[in-house]
This record gives sequence, structure tokens and C-alpha cells, in this order.
Amino acid sequence: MVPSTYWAFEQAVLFSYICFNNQISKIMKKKAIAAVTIAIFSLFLIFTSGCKKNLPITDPNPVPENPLELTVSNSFDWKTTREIGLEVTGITIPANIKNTLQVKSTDEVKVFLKNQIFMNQDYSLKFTIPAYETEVLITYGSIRQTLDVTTDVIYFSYLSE
Amino acid sequence: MKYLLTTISSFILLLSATTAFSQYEVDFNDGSTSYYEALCWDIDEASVSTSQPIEGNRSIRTSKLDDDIGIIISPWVSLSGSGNLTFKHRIYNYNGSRNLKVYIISEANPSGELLFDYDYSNGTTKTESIAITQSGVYKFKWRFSGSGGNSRGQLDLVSIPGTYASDPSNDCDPIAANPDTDGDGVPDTEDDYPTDQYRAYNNFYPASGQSTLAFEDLWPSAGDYDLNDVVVGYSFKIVTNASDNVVDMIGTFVLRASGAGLHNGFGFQLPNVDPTSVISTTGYQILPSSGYTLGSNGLETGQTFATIIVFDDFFRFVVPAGGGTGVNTTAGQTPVPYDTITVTMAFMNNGTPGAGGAVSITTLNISEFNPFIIARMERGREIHLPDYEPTNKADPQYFGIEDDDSNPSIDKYYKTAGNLPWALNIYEEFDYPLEEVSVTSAYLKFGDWVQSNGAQFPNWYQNNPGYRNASKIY
Repeated sequence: MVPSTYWAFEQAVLFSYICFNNQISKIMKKKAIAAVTIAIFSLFLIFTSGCKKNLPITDPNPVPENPLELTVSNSFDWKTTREIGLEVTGITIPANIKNTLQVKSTDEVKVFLKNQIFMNQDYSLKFTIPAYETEVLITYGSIRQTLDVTTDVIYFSYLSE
Repeated sequence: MKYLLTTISSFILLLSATTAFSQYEVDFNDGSTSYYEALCWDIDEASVSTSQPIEGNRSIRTSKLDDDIGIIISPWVSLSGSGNLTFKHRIYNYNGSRNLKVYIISEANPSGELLFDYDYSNGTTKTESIAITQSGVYKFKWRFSGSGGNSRGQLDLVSIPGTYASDPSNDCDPIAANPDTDGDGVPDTEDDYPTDQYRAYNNFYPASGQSTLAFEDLWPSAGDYDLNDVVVGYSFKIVTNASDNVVDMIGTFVLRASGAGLHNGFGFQLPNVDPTSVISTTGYQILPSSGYTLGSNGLETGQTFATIIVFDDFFRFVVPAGGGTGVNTTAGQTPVPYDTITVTMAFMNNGTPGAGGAVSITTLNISEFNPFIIARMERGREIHLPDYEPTNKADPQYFGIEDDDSNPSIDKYYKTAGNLPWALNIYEEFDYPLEEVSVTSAYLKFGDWVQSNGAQFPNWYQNNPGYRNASKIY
């Protein structure tokens, strides 16, 4: 407790003693009241000037109510979708294996791409997903891989590592 | 005698030629363990290793055979009924007791029949040649075993008298003779049209349900951004053949709302599609008096890319109740049922493409289709999505006036100086704001999405807690 605060506290204690002590004269009581009033005022000054104010954190980029006041980057494309490139690396295999490659949502409800491809060939494909998707499931027959789509190009390999 | 010997020699040569058989040969030099496992080799307690290979730069090597076994199983192979299984093997760091057993496995006998049983006495390389008389689909299993020490079994240069017969895309099961009734190369189990040789797959955009186009129609003046002057739900079904070329495309357009008093038409362009690649278009709704000029294939003439006018006047199909202006945007107004227009485009006819050639589904790239409204039924007054190009019929007099800041030299189209659009394409079904209620008031994360350049709340239009002011949405 800082010295000025301690002094105010001391006066408050003294005031209580004086007020509740009937043997102390009226003059003494008046002096006590004055002292406590000053003490309370001092406390007020201490707390209002000594403390740093807790100012509300201002949003550096507030969203206006009026759409005409939105700050829109030149590069913003307004799309709710993303186009993802899919690079498929074939493997050398002594048979002509052909099956259907599918790119789906991880719950397999949505199919974003369906192509029949040979296992021994490379392919560069594209598909479009809602911009909020972060993963897709790729199936090629019984082969299944879940891939992250936070990048614009993903890579599918028949090898497990 | 000399003649007889010559004849016999010639006969032997001829016999050899006619009975020559295939060999499935593997030297394990082409890749890692995962590569051979992708080819359906089952490699257990072993790996393809570059450490002291028998030949070349890799061999299969087991883990330490200290009370462990290393098992290597080949893919399925179609055996010809004759020829020899050959392979090289040895024990690396020979010590203790070591054994190799080789089995032939069939689907009927998965535990296998023992072909070869060898107890090692040293670490030298051995070459084996085992006569194979079976015909049909089989696998071979090599089982190294032993106890004590740190020896490892090695296998290399495997040659099997037959042809590779595993399907890595089907759990490494034997390659099945999948029925293909229409003979288009797509098995019936994968074919959406198993009896139609000209069609194979159905492809959908969006992947499920409908997407939504929402327009402001006062362009080139900015509107109130309630995004309900024209609201059209859409989806496409694209039918492709076995070569992934487009055969048909069916576009379904749901006319949901029009908050404007203006009469607007709607169409779309397929960038990169030559109009002559389209054989026919049906289902569009245009009156002859509307002034559009269509070719024999139903596309608008005078366009570089295939352009389809879907309807000429929204209010011809969704009529305001009680004779008022606008439909399905004002609270308390009598709702009007949606109307649906289905447009079918043919790109191939019995396997023959249009004059402009086949269009692959990759070239079609339907997610980049270019929709637009024709405002006030004035053909030159097209309103497109932001930065989507106008068609040949757009009137350039509207660019760069009032609030429009289009600048073709920098590929900027249909945006204000502040980069605000006149249309949005929302991937899912969109619940649009009430009349004269701005999208920022109705959708509480819309502004964050825009000002974060799309990084925050890419799903701003979904009905998640805190995303909407439901009282401001129709």
C-alpha cells in the first residue's frame, strides 16, 4: 500500500473510532469528519490518476455496417470456391490397370472429380471445392488416401509412403 | 541321316517357338519397399534393401532371423503350366540355424503347397530352378526362419513362368474379368450407363444440391446490396464417355426471387467451348419477340464462345402476386412458387462430336461457367460476376460510367472503384436478405470474409451460430 493510501486508510479508521466513541467532543468529531472527507477525496484522486486506464481494444479493421464502406483488396476474387490442381504419379506396372479415380468430401457425400485413368500414367487434373474444405478423400478402386487441400496443388501417389 | 537330323532340329526349334511362354521377372532394383508393395508384393519382416545386395543395387532382405521369420509373397501370377521358378537366395551374416521354405499358393489353398525346403550351412549365394507344372492363377511365398545371431535372409532375381495377374487397384485381388456389357472400356460396376457405349459417367456441379447466383441489377449504378434483384439456383449434370469427353450437359435453373421492378433475362457462356462443338440446345425459354438471334444449335449467334440464353424475362415465369413489383423478397408478401427451367445441350451424337470437335470435361471446366443477367431486357446491358468477361454482345458504353470501374486492359470487370461486385456465385443454396437489407446486415461474417481477402469465414453463408441475423433474411 503506497504511503498516501495508507494515510487515507489511517484516517478512516480514526474517524470510525471517533464517531462511535461518545466520549469524544463535538469539535473533535467535526475535525475527524473533515479529515476523512479529505482522505476519501485523496483516495479518489489516487485511483483515478494513478492507474492506467483500461481502454477498449480497438479493432484495427472494423467491419462497417454499410457494404459500400467495405475495404476490398484488388486481388479479392469474391469466390466461395477454390480450384485445386491434382498431380497423379503413375507407377510402372506389368499390366494395363485402369480404374476410376474419384475426389470426394471426406464424408463421401460430394464427388468433386471422377475420371477413369491408367495406373501407369501421370495425370494433371483439376477440381473445384467449396472454399471452406480442408481435406478431400481420393479413391482409386480400393486405394484410399485423405489429403490436405490447404494448398492449391496436391499430389497423389499409389505408393503408401 | 543328315537330312533326318536337320529335320529333327528344325522341328525342335519350331516347337520351342510355338511353346514360348512369358516370364514375370523382378530384380528389385526399380524402387523401394513401398513401390513393390504397390505392385502387390507382400513383404513382411523384410524390406527392399541396398545393403549388400545379391545382384544389382537392391535385394529383399529380412529382419534379423532371431526367433523371427521373414516372409515375402509375390503378386498373383497366371501360370502357363510349364517352365521354371528361378531365384537367388542366401543368408547374410550367416550363423546359427537358418531355413528357407517356398510355397505355391492358390485361392483354393491359401496356406500353400510346399515346393522347396532348404537348410543353410553357409552364407554363399544359391540359385534355384524349380519346375512348375501348375496352370492358373497362383502366388509364391518365401519363408525365411531361424534362431539366434543376427543373420538375415536375402532374395533376388525372381523369375516366375507366367504373366502378372494382380490388380493393385482392387485390394491386389487377381485381375478380374469385369463385365463390360456395352464394350466401352468401363466395367459395368463403374459405368453409370452400362448398356450405352456412348456414355459412361455422370458428373455433377455443384457436387451436391444447388449453388446460387445473386445479382444486383442497377449496374452500372451501385445498388443496395441486398443481393436479391435476381436470385437463381443452379446445378449441372455433365454426362461423359469413357474418354472423359462431354456427351450431354443438363443445366437446371431455379428462378427463386427478384426484388427488382426491372425485367431481367439470364444466360451463361461456356468459356473455351467453340459454339460449333454444341450439336443442339433445348429447354431455353425465349419468346421470338425478345430479339435474341439463335443458331440452328440453339446457341446465341455472333459469340466467340458457346452462349446460352436461358430465359428472357424473369417475371414471365415467376409472377409477382397481386400485381406488385418484386417477388419473394419482401416480408409479409405472398410467396410465389419457384419456377424451374431445364436446358439440355448435346455435344456428341452416337459418338460423333459437333463440328468444332469433342470437348473434354477438363476443357468444359464447368465451375468457371460465365453466368450473367441481361438487365431491363436490354441485350447490351449484361451484368456478370466480378472480373468475368462480357460476351460479344455487351455494350461497352456502360463500362467505366457511374459506379462501374471496369477496365478491360487490366481484366477488371463489373466492379466498383472500391472493388465491390454486382453479383455473387455462392457454392450452396443461399438464403438471401430481405428487400433493401444489405448483405452485411443479414450475414454477420460477410464483412470479415471480404476484408480478410477470403481467409476468414469462407463459409459465411452457412447457417452457423452467430453467422446470421435471421430476422433480416427472407
